[in-house]
Amino acid sequence: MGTDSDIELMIRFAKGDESAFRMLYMAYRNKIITYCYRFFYDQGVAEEISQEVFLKVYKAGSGYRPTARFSTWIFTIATHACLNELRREKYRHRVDSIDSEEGSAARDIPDRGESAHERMESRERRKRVGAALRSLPGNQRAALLLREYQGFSYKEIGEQLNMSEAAVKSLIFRGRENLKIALYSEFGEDS
Amino acid sequence: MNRPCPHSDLLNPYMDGELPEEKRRFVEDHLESCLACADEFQNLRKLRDLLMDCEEVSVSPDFDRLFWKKVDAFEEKKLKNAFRRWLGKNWRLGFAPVFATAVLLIGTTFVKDTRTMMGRETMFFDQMELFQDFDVVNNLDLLEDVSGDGDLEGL
Repeated sequence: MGTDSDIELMIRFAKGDESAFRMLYMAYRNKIITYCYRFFYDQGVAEEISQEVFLKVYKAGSGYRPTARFSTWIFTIATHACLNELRREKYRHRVDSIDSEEGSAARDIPDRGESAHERMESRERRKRVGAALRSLPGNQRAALLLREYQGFSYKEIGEQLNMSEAAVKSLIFRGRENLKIALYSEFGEDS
Repeated sequence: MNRPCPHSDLLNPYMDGELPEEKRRFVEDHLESCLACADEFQNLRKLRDLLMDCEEVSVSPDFDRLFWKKVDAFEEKKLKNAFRRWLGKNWRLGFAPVFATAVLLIGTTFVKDTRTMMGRETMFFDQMELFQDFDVVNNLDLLEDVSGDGDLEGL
């Protein structure tokens, strides 16, 4: 359990200080949207889920009891919301937005001296990475995203996914193996 | 077909910083001597680089407004539910406004009727006074004089 400043803010909110919630909201808004976006590669879905996450945090307000780092707690809510969304039938019927610019929140990374051809290649590569990530089963995807982008430890990921550290280690291993297979063109014939 | 090195399962936790010091040093030494593991480790790092080379995600301008709207709706619902719960516990008190409204309605009707009756009487007396005034005006000598002479300049 941590006693980080975010927990203190959440405790202040639990006591009725709404400005503390606003500070937490501003601090985590982009992180949660980005996490959800990388889960689905769809801006609409990502924002819908993110709002659901923050509303849950808001509703939890008065009953909040710190049992882990605040970031672990809020990403647990986000992960469960994403996994639930994944299970929902409607998602399977959505138009695949990764191949179209519509519904995409992604912006190209600002010009890093790449030529137009290189930029196009980068964009295509990112699309392939996104598609590869989306092809992973929910738990593998969540574990990898939490590890790679949020830097959570295996123990914290285990708390979020309600599984042991050994199971998380196995999930991450299998997730990376599956990604390498999906992105075989990036790794050549040897891998 | 190459058989994987028995130590390759340490590579993922090594890259993630999840190994204790002793094992970490073992992997570092092992990577110096095992070509298969060194290749595998390179691939893992390349995969990480690929994942990190990702787009920035922007937030749509309506996001905040929609979120706070949901918060407002939640607060409103919470308030209604709290009132319902209170009413459930204090249903007798809930009748108080109903009773008060009924008393008020009956009272208003009664007062209105009384005033109507009093109003009629008042009109009668007002009219009587008017008649009296009319008589007085009619009997004014001054007006008779004026109409008789037809000359108002003398007034």
